[in-house]
Formats: sequence, C-alpha cells, structure tokens
Amino acid sequence: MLDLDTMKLFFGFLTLVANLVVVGYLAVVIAARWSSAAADLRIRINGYLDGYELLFGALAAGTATLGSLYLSEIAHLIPCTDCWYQRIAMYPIAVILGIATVRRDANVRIYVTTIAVMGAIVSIYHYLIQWFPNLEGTSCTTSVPCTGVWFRVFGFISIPYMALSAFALVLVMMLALRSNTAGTEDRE
Amino acid sequence: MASTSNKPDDNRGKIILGIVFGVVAVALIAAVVFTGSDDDAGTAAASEFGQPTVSGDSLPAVSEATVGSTTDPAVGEAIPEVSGQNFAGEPVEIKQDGQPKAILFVSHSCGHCQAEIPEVQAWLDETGGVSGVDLITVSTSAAQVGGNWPPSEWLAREGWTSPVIADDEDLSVFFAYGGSVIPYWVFVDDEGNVTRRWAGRLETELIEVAMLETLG
Repeated sequence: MLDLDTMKLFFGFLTLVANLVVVGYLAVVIAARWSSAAADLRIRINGYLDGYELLFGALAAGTATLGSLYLSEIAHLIPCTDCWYQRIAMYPIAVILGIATVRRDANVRIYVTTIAVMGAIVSIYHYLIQWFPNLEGTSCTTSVPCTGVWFRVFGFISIPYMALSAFALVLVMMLALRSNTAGTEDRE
Repeated sequence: MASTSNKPDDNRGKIILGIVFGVVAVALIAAVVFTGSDDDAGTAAASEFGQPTVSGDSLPAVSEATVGSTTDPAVGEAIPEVSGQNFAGEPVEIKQDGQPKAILFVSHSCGHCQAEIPEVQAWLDETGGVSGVDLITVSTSAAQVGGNWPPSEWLAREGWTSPVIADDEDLSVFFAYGGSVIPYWVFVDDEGNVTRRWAGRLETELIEVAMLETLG
C-alpha cells in the first residue's frame, strides 16, 4: 500500500495537471475574444473534447471523491466542517456526471455547474482561512479546526486547493459542453 | 433529452482516455519516485503527549459572555497546579509559587495558534516580554493525524523559547483550566489567582497589558 506521503504527492501532481488544463483552456477562451488564431484553437480544442466533456467531468469529480475518501477513511485525516461542505458538493457531482456520461445527457450541465460553483466558493473560503486564519474569528475548536492545514504539497496545494482544482476542472468541462451543445443546436 | 453534440469517436476516445490514464500513471510513478523515505515518521509521537497530574479545583469553563472581562467567574480563583513534562520528558510545573505568570494553550493543528506563536515569539525576542511574569505554554489537543504534526517540531521550528508542558490525550490540563477554544490564555497573579482569561488570538499589546495586570 502506498503511504500517505506518496499519495499526497500523487494528488499534488494530479492537481497541477488539472490547474494546467483549467488555466490553459480559460486562457484560450479569453484570448479567442480578440484573436482569430485563439478562436480557431478554441474550436479545435472543443472539437477534441466534443462528446467527452461529461466523462472528463465525471473523472475529475470521481477522482476528487475517491481522494477525499482515501484521506479520511484510509489515512484517517478527519474532515473539518468546511471539508464536509465541499464533500456535499463534490460527491453528487461525481454521481450525476457518471450517470450523465452513460446516458449522454447534456441537460445536467446547469445542475452540475450550480453545485460546482457552490463547492468552489467554499473551497476558496477554506483555502483563504488556512492562509489567513483571522478571516474566521480568532480561535479554533479543539476538534478539527478548519484553519488547520493537514499538508501543503509544493508549499501551496492543500486539501481545499485540491477540491477547488477539481471543481474548476468540472466547470471548464461544463463550459466546453455548453459551447459544443450550442454549436450542435446551431447546426440543427 | 438533450444529448452531447457528437457521438464519441472510438479512435479519438481511445487516444483521449490513453492520455488521461497516461497522465495518471506518470503522476503516480513520479510520486513514488520523488517521495523520500521517511524513516523518522512517527518516532516523535511518544513524547508529544505528556502525563500531567493536575491538583486543585478546576476553573469554570470560559464563557463567550465574560471572556477577557473581570466578570469572568474564574477571576480571583486559584489555579489548578500542574506537574507535567516537556517534549523531552523533563519536568515542567505550573504552581502557585508566588510568581505571576501567563499560561498559553496552543495546538499544532490550529491555524490561529500557528499564527499566534511566531507573533508572540517575535515580541518576546524584541522586548523580552514583561519582566517578572513567566510565560508557560501547554501543547494541547495534539493529534498525530492532524496537520503540522508533531507539535514539538513545530514549536522548535518557530524558535519558541517558553517552557512547554505536553498535555495528555484527554486534554486534562486544558479542561482543568476551563478551556474551550484555542489559543487560550490564562493570566495569574503572584497569589496564584486568575486575573484574566482570553480565548483566541491576542495582540501582543493586549498580552503585555494582561501581563502587567498580573503584577498588580
């Protein structure tokens, strides 16, 4: 069995990959507003993703779900209250996108986007109070303080950062799904 | 039912899924390769918890309504005496010994404690604290699965100079002093009576005022 240090690093690498995909895609989307070359690139990327957005979203949410279960149930890192709120958002996304992938049901986009945005907001807040505990009062409970940091891979990737990265990747996939679905409807 | 725009192409799907699993495999291999062997992990655990003995009446639990106030029912009460050990197993005590003191309860996994410790240490380094007032720290609410473990390494890393008592796993010292949240401060005069209690982070200016108050 891989130890916790190895798994933390593994999750850290996956998080970096997710960040690269999200930042790269958003950069192309933004640049496409002004650059025809970027617009062409966006069309090509969306073309590659076409039909696989739900699957990629499901993989991102599923990986985050399994990762969080590994951290709590195998590594015994007890989730704090904010961690639970993020789980409440992430777990159903994994299920919804899993089913939607099988059924090829693009209608779930609005539900998934809504839940992912809510989860991402909690992740951002949780990540911020880990760096700036004063944003959340001046004290911790003796149970599992949300301001506490279990670990920071590469000095900045903590658990809520990982969750935020997964939510962001899901949202980017929903954005691609929106573009591709709109394109199909236009063609129809 | 709206469906995704195109039926996934088999070849493209294989390529994309191959890339995904390739990335995962590379990440896993890199994680295994770059994870250094950590033979020391857990060796410090035994000394992170002390076996303190507490005598005397416990202080009433600190209340949000009266914390930091002279209306706190603990003000004027005698502190429980503690015979404990630091992380090295050396004896450290909190006694009614005629010495004014400030007692700080912290936990390694608490973000506020992590922020408080370097601020207080910087203040101590700069000013030497308040002459005639001892500062004693109690490392409490420790958990090996918690972040920033172990507390001994955390406090050493911060250059913490105050004597430390390692609380036990039942948080006996913390609860005997009426603690509910951390960081937690108890200020004590030369008669061994509580002059003020604060729950949460304190600005060093307030720490100085509270310490001066213990001198009468």
